[in-house]
Amino acid sequence: MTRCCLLLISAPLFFLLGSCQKESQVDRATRDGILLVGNASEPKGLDPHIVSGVIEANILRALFEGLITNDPSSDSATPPGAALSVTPDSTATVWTAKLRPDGKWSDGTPVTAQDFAFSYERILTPELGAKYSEMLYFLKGAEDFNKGVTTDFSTVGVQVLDDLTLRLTLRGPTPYFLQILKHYTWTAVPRHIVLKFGKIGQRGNPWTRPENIVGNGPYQLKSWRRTDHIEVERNPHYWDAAHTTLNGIRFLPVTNLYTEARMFRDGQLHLTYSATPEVVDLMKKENPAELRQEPYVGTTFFRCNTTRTPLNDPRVRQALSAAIDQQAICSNVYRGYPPAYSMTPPMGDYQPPHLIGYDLEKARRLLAEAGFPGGKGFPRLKILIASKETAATLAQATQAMWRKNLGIEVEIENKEWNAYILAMQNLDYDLANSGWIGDYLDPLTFLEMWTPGNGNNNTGWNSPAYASLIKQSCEETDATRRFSLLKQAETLFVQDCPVLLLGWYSRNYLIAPDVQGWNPLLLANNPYQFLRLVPRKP
Amino acid sequence: MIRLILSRLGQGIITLFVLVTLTFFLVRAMPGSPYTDEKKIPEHTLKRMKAYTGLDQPVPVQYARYLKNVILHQDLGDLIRRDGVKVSEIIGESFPVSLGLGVLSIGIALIIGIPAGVIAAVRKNTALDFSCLAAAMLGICLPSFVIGPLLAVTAGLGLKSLNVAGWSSPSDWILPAITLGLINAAYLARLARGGMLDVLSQDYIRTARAKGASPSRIVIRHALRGGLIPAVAFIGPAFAGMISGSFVIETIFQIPGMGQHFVNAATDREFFLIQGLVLFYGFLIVGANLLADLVQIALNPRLRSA
Amino acid sequence: MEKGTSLWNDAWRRLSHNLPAIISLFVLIFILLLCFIGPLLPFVQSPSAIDLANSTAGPSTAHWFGTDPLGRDLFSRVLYGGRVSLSVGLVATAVAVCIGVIYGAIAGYAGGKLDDFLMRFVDILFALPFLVLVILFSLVVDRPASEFTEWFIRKSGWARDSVAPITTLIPLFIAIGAIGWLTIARIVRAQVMAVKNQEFVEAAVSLGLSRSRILFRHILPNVIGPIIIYTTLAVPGIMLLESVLSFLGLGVKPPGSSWGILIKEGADRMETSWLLLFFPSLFFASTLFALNFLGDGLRDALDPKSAKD
Repeated sequence: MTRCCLLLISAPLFFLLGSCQKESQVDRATRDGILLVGNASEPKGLDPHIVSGVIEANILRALFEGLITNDPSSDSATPPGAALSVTPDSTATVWTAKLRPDGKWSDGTPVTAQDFAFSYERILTPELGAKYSEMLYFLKGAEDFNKGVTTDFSTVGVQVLDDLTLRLTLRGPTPYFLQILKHYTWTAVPRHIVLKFGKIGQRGNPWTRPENIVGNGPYQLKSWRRTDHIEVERNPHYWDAAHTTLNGIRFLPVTNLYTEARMFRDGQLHLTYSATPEVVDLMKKENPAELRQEPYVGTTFFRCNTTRTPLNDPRVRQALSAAIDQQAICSNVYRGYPPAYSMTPPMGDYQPPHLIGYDLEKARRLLAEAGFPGGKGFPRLKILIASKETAATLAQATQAMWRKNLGIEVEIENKEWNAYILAMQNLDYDLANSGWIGDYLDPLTFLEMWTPGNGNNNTGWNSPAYASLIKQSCEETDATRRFSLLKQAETLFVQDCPVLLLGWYSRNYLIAPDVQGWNPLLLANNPYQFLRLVPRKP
Repeated sequence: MIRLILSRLGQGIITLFVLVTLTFFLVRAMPGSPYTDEKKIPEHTLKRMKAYTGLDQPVPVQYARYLKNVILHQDLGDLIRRDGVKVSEIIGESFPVSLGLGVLSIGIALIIGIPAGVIAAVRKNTALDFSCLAAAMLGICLPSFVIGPLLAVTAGLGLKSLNVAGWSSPSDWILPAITLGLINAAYLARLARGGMLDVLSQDYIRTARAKGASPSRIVIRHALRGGLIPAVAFIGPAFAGMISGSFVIETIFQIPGMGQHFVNAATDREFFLIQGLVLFYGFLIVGANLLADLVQIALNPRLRSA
Repeated sequence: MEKGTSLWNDAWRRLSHNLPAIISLFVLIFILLLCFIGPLLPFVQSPSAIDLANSTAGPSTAHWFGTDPLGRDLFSRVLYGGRVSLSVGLVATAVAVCIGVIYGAIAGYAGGKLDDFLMRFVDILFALPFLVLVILFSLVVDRPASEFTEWFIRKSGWARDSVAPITTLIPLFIAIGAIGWLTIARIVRAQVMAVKNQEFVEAAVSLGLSRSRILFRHILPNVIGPIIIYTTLAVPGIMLLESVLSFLGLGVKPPGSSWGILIKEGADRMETSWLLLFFPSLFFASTLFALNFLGDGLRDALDPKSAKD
C-alpha cells in the first residue's frame, strides 16, 4: 500500500525532472505563432445566434466574419469582411451588400447571399429563442416576425438579389448601421451545415460541436476541452489567408483573475482577460510596461428604485449622487477608471455633456429641500450588491461617504448573483450596484435601455419626454441633429438621476511584449489575424 | 456478509431515490432561474427557451419526465445555459480529473498524516510528538485559499519547470495535490494519534507488552489495526468532500475538475446539472460508505458479529 | 470506583503537567480577552472609519497593524473580526458537536434497522447540494432575521450597532450547526460500535443498568477522545465556512468582518501588501494551533485508561 502510494507521488516528479524545460509556454507559443489568451470562463456555446457575451464574442471573432469586420487600430473604421462593400441609399434606410466572390466556408463551400438571408431568418425564427434577436430589430419587419405576429419571412427587409448581392431594408434611417453590422449576431452561419444537423428553428443543434463546426472567419476550431481550453488554427479557405500572420489562438477559461495574473507572470499567457485592482497595483510596481489600462465602453453606477420613497424624489437622488466623491472611488476602488459625468462614455464623434460631479454644498441643500436637513429622518436604505468582485468595497466606501457627507445611514445587502439579478428586475431593492457594457459604438446602446418598459431599465424611471427624444433620434437622418437629440435625452436622464453614476469602465489587462499589433479599442474587439508574435530578446 | 452487502445495496437505491426527489424539488424552490441574465431576456424568447427544455410544464410533469429519462434512458438531461451539452458529458469529463487529483492528494495525506500521528502517539508528550503534530496541522491552520496561492507564488513562479496553474503536463498535479493533501493530513494525523493512544492503553496491548513483545512489533502487529479506525472512518467522507468541495483548489490552479460544477451549477440554477451531479455524488457516497463499512469490518473483528 | 470529582481533579492534574496544553490554554484566553474586551479600550479605533487617503499603509503608532485598502485600522478590524470568528467557531461547533454526538451515539448503540435508517438519512444530507441549501436557507431566514433585529431593538432600546451584528449572525449559527454535524456523527457511530461489545459494557448490561445510562455514562466517556479531537479539528472548517457564507449574503454584513474574510482579502494582496494577510492569519493560526494542542491535552487528560498508567 505504502509503496504504491510512493510510486503514485513520485511519478509526476519524474515527469517533472524529465520535462525540465528552459523555454516557457509563452516562448514556445510565440515561436509557433500561437497566441495564448486568458478568456475568463467557459463559453456557453459557439453558435453566434444563441450566445450573448464578451467571452463568446472573443472566440466567435476568430471563427466567423460578418459583412463588415473589425479594424485592428480604429473603432470607427468599417473595413469590408465577407462583403466587398455595403452601401446605403440616400436616407440610410436601404443597404446593399456585395459579397466577395472568393468568400468560402472553412469546408471550401462558397459563402453566398443566401447564407446571410438564411442566418437572419434563423436568428429571428421564434422557435430558436435567440436571446439577442433584438439586435436585428433594425431590419424592417424583424420584430413582428420574431414575436410571431407574422410567419412570413418575406415581410422582413432581407432580399437576396443574386448569389452575391443582399439587400437589407431597415425600419428607419440608421446612419451608423455599419457599426451594428460588426456585432456577431449579424454574422452568417453555414446554411448547408446547420440544415444538415437540424432544422432552422431548432435549439441544441449539434452543428457547433467540434467535429461539425464550419465558419467563414480567419480561423477554424482545432480542439476543445471543456473548462480547459479552446484552440483555433488557420482557416486555409479564408479569403485573406495569405495575409494572416498569426497561426492560431488558444483560449483558456481562467475564472480566477488572480490565477490568471500568476499564469501571465509565469509565462503561460500572452494576454489576460482582466486585471483586478490588486494585480494593477502589483504590476505597476513590478512591471508597468506589461500593464494596459484603456478606456472601454461601459459605465458603472447605482440604480435607484424610483418607485420607492424617498428615492422617487429627484432631489434625494441628486443629493445622493452629488455626495459621492467619484474621483476617490475611481482611484481607490476601481484603480484607474475615469469618473463618469454622463451615462454614455465618450465614443467617436459623440462627446457627452459634462453634467454632474462631486458637490457637497449642492448635495446638502437638495437633501434639506427634500425634507431631510442634515440627514434627519432619512430612512435606512439598503444598497444591494452581488457577491462578486469589488462590489463590497465600493458599497462600504459609499456608505462611509454618505454617513460623513450627508449624515445618513445605509445598509449593505449582499446577495448571491442570481438572487441579486432577480431582486433588481423585480424592483425589490432601494439602491443596487450595477453596470452596463455597450454592444456597439453608438450612444443609443447606453440610452435606449432607459425608455419606459425596456427590459433593462429596472429603475421604474418613466419619462415620456425622454422616450420621445429617443424616438425622434431614431427617425432622424442627419447625424449631427441625431447626436444633439441624444445629448438632450442624455442631459434629461443624468440630471434626473435615476442612476447614480460612478465611473466609466477601463479595461485593465496584461499583455506580453511578444504581442505586436494589439491596439487599444473601445469595444475591445481586436481582430486576431493581423497580430504578430515576436520572440523576446534574451 | 453477503446479506449485509445486499441489504446495504437496497438501502442505497432507496437513498438515491429520496435524494433525487428532494433535490428535484429543492432546486426549483430557489429564487431566480436558469434564464436569469444581466440583460433581461424578452418574454416571447423566454417562452421558447423554456419550451425547449420542458421547464414550461407543471412541476409534477417535469418530475415524471425526469424520472422516466433517468431510469429508462439513463439520460440525465442537457445543460440549460450551454447549448447542446449533456450533463453526462460534463460529469464524464470532469470526474476523472477530480478522481486522479483526489487519489493523489489522499495518498499525500496518508503518507504525511498517518506516520505523523502514529509517531506522535508512540512518543506521546515528547518534543517529537509536538513537532509531528505541529507540522501536520499546518494544513488546517491556514486556509487552502492561502496555501494554494502561496505555493503557486513560491514554487510555481520560482521553479521554471512548475507551472503556477493549468492541467496539461503531469507536473501540474503536484501543487494542487499538495494543497489538498495538507488539509487532510492534518485530520488524519490528529485522528490517528488519538486512535492509537486509545488502543495502546488497552488490555491486550498491555498483555503483549508484558509478554515482552518488541515495541515496534506491538505497534505494527497489534495497535495499528484498531488505532486507525477513526482515521479510516474519516477517509470516506474526506474523499467525497474532495470531489465536491475542491472548488477553491480548482479555481486557484485552473483544473477542469468537478468541484467548480457543484458551485457554478447552483449559482447558475442549472437544474439538470445539479440533479445529475447530486445523483452521481450520491452513487459515490453510497459506494464509499459500503466500502468504508467493509474496511472497518476487516479491521475490527468485533464488528463482524454485529 | 473513584468519586466523580476526583476524576476531574485527576484530569486537571494531568492537564496541568502538559506544558504545550497549558501554554495553549493561556494563548486562547489571551486571544479571547483581546477580541472581546480589547475593542472597549479607548485607544482601539473604529473598525469602519474609512480614510481613502491612507489606504494600505504600513504599521505605525497610529495604526499598529497598518490599514486596509479602504484606510481602516487593521488592528481593530482583526479584533472585531475575531469576535465574529471566535463566536461562530465556538458556538456553531458546539451546536454541531452536540447534534452529531447524540445522533451518532444513538445510531451506533442501537444498531440494526434504526442505525441503517439514521445513517442513510445522514448520507442523503451529505449528498444534498450544499450551496442550494444555503441559498434556500438565506431566502427563508432573511426576513425573520431582520424583523427579529428590529423587534429586539424596539423592545430592548439598545443601540443598533451593538445589537445588529449579533442578531444577524443567528441564522449563520443555525445554518452551520445544521450541516456541520454529519461527519462527527459518522465518527462517533463508528467508535460507539467498536466499544459497545467490550467487557465493561457487557458488565453494565448484566448489572441491569438502563440503555441510556449505559450509553451516556459508560460508552460515551470511552469515546470522548475522538470527539474532542474531531471537535477541535472542525473549528477551522467552520470558521472558514463563515467567510464562504458571508459572500453568499448569510453571515457578517459589510462593513463588519471576520478573520476568514480578512484573510481572503489579504490573500488577494499577498504580493503587494503581505501584512494584510499576515496579521489576520497570525491570529487565526495561533488560535487553531492552541485549540488543537489543548484538545490533544484534554484528550490525554480525560482518557479513562491512561489514569491507570
